[in-house]
Amino acid sequence: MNPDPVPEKKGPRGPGQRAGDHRVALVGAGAIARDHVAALTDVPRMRLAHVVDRHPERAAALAALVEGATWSTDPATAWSEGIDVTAVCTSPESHADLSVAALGAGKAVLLEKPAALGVADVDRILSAAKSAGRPLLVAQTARFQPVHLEIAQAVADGAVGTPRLAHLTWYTGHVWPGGWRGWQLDPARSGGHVAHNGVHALDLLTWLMDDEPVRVFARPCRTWAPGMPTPDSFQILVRFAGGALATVELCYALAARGTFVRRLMLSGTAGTLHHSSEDEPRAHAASPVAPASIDGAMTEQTRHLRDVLDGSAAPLTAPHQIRAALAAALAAQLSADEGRPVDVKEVC
Amino acid sequence: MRILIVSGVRHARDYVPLLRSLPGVEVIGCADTADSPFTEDSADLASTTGLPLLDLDQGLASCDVALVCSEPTRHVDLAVRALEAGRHVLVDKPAATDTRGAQRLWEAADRSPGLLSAVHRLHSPQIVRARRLVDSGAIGLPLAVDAEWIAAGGLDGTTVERPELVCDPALSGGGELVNFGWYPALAIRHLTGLEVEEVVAFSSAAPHAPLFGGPHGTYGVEDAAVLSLRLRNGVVATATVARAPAGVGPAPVSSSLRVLGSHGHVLADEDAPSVTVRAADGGRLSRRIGGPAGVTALRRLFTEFGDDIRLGRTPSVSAADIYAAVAVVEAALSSARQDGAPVVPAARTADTTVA
Repeated sequence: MNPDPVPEKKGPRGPGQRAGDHRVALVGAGAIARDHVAALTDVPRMRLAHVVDRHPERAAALAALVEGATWSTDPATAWSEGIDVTAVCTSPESHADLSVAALGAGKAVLLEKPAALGVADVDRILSAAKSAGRPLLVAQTARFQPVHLEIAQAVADGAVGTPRLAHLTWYTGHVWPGGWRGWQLDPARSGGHVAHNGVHALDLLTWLMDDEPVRVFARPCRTWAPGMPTPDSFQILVRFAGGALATVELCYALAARGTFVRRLMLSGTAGTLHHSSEDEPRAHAASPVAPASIDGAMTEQTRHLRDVLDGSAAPLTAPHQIRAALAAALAAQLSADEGRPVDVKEVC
Repeated sequence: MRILIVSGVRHARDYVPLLRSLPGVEVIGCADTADSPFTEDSADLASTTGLPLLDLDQGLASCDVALVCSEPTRHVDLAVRALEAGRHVLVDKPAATDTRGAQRLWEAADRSPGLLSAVHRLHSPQIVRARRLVDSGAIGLPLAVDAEWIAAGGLDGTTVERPELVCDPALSGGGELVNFGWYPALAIRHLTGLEVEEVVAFSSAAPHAPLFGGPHGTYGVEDAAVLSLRLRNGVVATATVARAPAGVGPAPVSSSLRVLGSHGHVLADEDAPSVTVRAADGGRLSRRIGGPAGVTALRRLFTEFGDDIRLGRTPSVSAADIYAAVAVVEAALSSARQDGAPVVPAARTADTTVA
């Protein structure tokens, strides 16, 4: 393996590259980075240029998937001159420093969720994006699932009036990779599962309800092993600033890995909207196939990132939503840890 | 089986024709107390159904089963009176509006030769199926349940006789949490077999405003609530209840629940499975296979209660179940008043009526 500590500067392009390509550097070569690489491959004019990981073999393996992509163990190479956008895909404890550095270097940033492990850190990131005048998109990929794009459009069309009550149910059969070594199991690195993945649900509701959570209660449920340092499953009750309520259940306990039960009920002043993956035509194969309603979200998110980089769209994750969703998720984590309801302002 | 409608305020107009359609069932009349605030309702019921309007003591002396259909806050007094008269008693939902009343019911049932049960949805085909799968071991041990009960409007007289019967605490005991919380509390208990140890709830009761702008705000009660339950053995559950302008499915009340087990899961939806019919004019009709779940559940409830009496069986919902469900709802109301503080449901205390 031959590391290239600094990716090629913009200019003459390598094989398959065209003028106008957006060159992406990935920091962190774990499972989610692999998904990003697949999505980048699907979207014209988005190109993986460089991979950074502290483990050289992981960086090299990921870079090898795309012709011409280079790799390094030095994070600073992810915001070097030849890069347009830095995709921060490390575990969350390093998100703030990496994002602030990339934005400070004038790069657009795609930031994996949760954006940070503290509100002060997300404020640093948002401030850096504002100062740099560069786009920041947080990978709240659930927004880009087809069903949620449709629901958002329905809400925007006034189909249910003002949303007032939501019930969001996400059940899946999933176990994080790495066994007991998986970083997701370490609350110091992941923020705890309620924060780590609860932020997806809370971001989605913040977006759909067009409102910010102000009080939450979260209850954990350990279905894999009673001694897990962070629960695989949990529920969250939410009160929004405008008085709306929500129930969230996120559970990894489905017996078959890769299976899904996804449901959303959204009731408003003029109607009720409902989706259940159980109502969909489903594919059944040797390995489980995701419901069509959630399929292709990563590619759609990458398309949106391209539009943002082209200047034809603003990042779907608005700064106030990024902050509100993260603060709610951190409050929910605190609630789960301490067994009491928590005002979101308590973590701000 | 001779059935007396005790106070014809709530749901009796639906129960009477259903009861009359059952073999071996005779509805002998409708009766109420002299001081009932709703004597006119009983008279109207008698008039519209052709039932005789009876004196309460006379009716109780003549019936096998007293079906208590008053406003909820009089359920306990009327049911206790019927139990003390030695009758079997079915109480409309919620059987009691607080645990003090539920305890009185339990104690009266203990002293009475009559059986006590209450209106519930546990015989809804999808809940029956879920319970069967749990009992078979097919999904392993239940670990988590989420239940949702959403009513579609109905305060215009279509499903609720008049709004204050679910909004005025003096009549209803509370808002939609009292009105509907009973159903998921019973269903979760039925499917898990576990006591609830802690309840947390957020609701739209005062000082918050109703979510949907109905009459609930006038009385300071909730039109919606979200609940988190901790059961024994680390099992968890949620309940989402509301009266919204529109429901989830075609029925006036849509309910569904999901049970996740250690080795599988089962979903129950009272609106499914169904057949969809689209007419030439574009109209769409959903026909639930086997008929409306609510009607099926009620028919089976009445039939099974008759069998319980004949066979000396414990009803599917016993005095203990009534108490437990009321205790969960009461704890949820208390938690909601404290903006989500965890509350331990009440437990039955020693019988205060025994010397």
